[in-house]
Amino acid sequence: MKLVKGSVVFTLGKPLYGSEGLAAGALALGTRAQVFVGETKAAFSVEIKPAAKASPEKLLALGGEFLNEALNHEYRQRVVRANAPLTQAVFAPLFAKGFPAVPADPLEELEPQVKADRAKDIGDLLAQARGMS
Amino acid sequence: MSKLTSFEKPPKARPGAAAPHQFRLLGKKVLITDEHGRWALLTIPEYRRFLAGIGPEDPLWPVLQPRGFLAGAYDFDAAARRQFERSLLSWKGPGSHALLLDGMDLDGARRTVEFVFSCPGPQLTLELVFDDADAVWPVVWFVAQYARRKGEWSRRPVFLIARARSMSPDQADFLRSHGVTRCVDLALDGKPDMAKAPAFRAQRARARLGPGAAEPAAWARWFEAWGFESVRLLPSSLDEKGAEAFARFHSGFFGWLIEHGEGAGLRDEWVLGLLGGRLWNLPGMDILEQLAYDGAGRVYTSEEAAADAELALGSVSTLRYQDLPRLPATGAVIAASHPDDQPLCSQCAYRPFCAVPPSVNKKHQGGLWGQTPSSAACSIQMGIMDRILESLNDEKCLNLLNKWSVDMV
Repeated sequence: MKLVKGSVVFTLGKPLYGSEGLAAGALALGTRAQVFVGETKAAFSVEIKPAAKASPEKLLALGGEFLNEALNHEYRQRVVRANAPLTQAVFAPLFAKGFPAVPADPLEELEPQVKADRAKDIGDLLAQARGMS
Repeated sequence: MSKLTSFEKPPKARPGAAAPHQFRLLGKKVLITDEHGRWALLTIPEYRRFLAGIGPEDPLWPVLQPRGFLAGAYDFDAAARRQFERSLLSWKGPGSHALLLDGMDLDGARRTVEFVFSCPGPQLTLELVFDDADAVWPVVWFVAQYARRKGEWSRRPVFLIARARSMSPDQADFLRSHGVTRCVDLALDGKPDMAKAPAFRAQRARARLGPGAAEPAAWARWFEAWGFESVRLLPSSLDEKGAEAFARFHSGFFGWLIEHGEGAGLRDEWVLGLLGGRLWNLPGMDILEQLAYDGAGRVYTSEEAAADAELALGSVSTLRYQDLPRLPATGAVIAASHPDDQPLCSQCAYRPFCAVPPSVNKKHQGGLWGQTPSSAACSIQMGIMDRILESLNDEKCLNLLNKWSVDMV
């Protein structure tokens, strides 16, 4: 990492780093910095310009945070892809069947009076609670 | 930087000898765990022998064969059954609901309880969270009774917990008479004053360590003396310093429980949560274990996520439980919570027991996925697991876990 005119700049080699990893690194910095990326066949060049003037230590910390997230993202994607056969077998049925809510109480459906009695019970409770306020 | 352990000189493994497992060096022992949370604690020479291949005449055979660690004697049917039981395929819905009552009005409380009861699951836990009972007492009073009635009508067991900093003896009595467990929010600093009572009589405590918290064994005695049944210790801060201080304190606290727990009634909620062995048993795990509701009626993926607009799922007035899987936040937190999707977790010996909730990652590290190598939450949970697992050859520890109905055999 080099410090140049209030920014931190570095070069990241392909294919270890990809554009998604760089995007993840930029997202991690959020509004604290602007990230400029250039690309050649073999590498990305990155410039991180902080939103406010920063000390050399803070600039290095920003660069480190960017690199941590970018590398973590790249590695995580490899792990996700490697474990996909296992996780897909779990997630696919989970989301395919949806999250079914509890069906309406059959007693209330069959006996409207039950529903009315319960509504009155709750109304009385609410009235008592309002009386305490 | 890795929190995983490795051998300076990796042992030679004979293909087809050992079944798939993860290992972790704990002092001079090697802990091995499998996909389903079965474990064994071996010496390093034993581990080398195990990897090289053992036969029925080996004294390790009767230890490792029933636990599924030997490739040649693997029970695939039992493994499939255990995998199904422990995976999200068996998940029934979030069992824990944190109702953040400060600022909630009665109509909002009613709608929140109705939303909670639209969630499936064989049993529901409603944790009523507030600061001072006087400020929200009508809402506490109403929710406690309404939730009880809803539980009877829906024929589902309902567990109610009231967590607060303060409440009067009358309020505590009312809650006790309505079967509500009281939980006191405490800050632990320095040494305990054995004569000083907690703010109110409670069965549970959520105790945040102050920077000067000391003498964990004395604090354990204090909790025991004041009739607490369980304690969840929390670090003073989620950074490296906070994690180290927490690990030291928790280790001493758990050590006291191992020594005295058989005759005492106190339990450690961290240990119970982690050894539950399922993602949806881990306290605060977004959506899978918990949903949270704030005073304005917003639904969040967990209590830790409250006030984070990106983890808000909707309003109790308009959101339906069945809408959850269509929300981007749902897919994101469930994917991020699964240890198989995390580089360190997927190789960790504690993978069957442990995961850091994505909302904790987001709050402290800025992203749902977090960065495990520098995560203080990971260090804390790993430290707790190290403490438990390295004690598993101690009969006192096993007896204690048995007493807590934790099956670690």
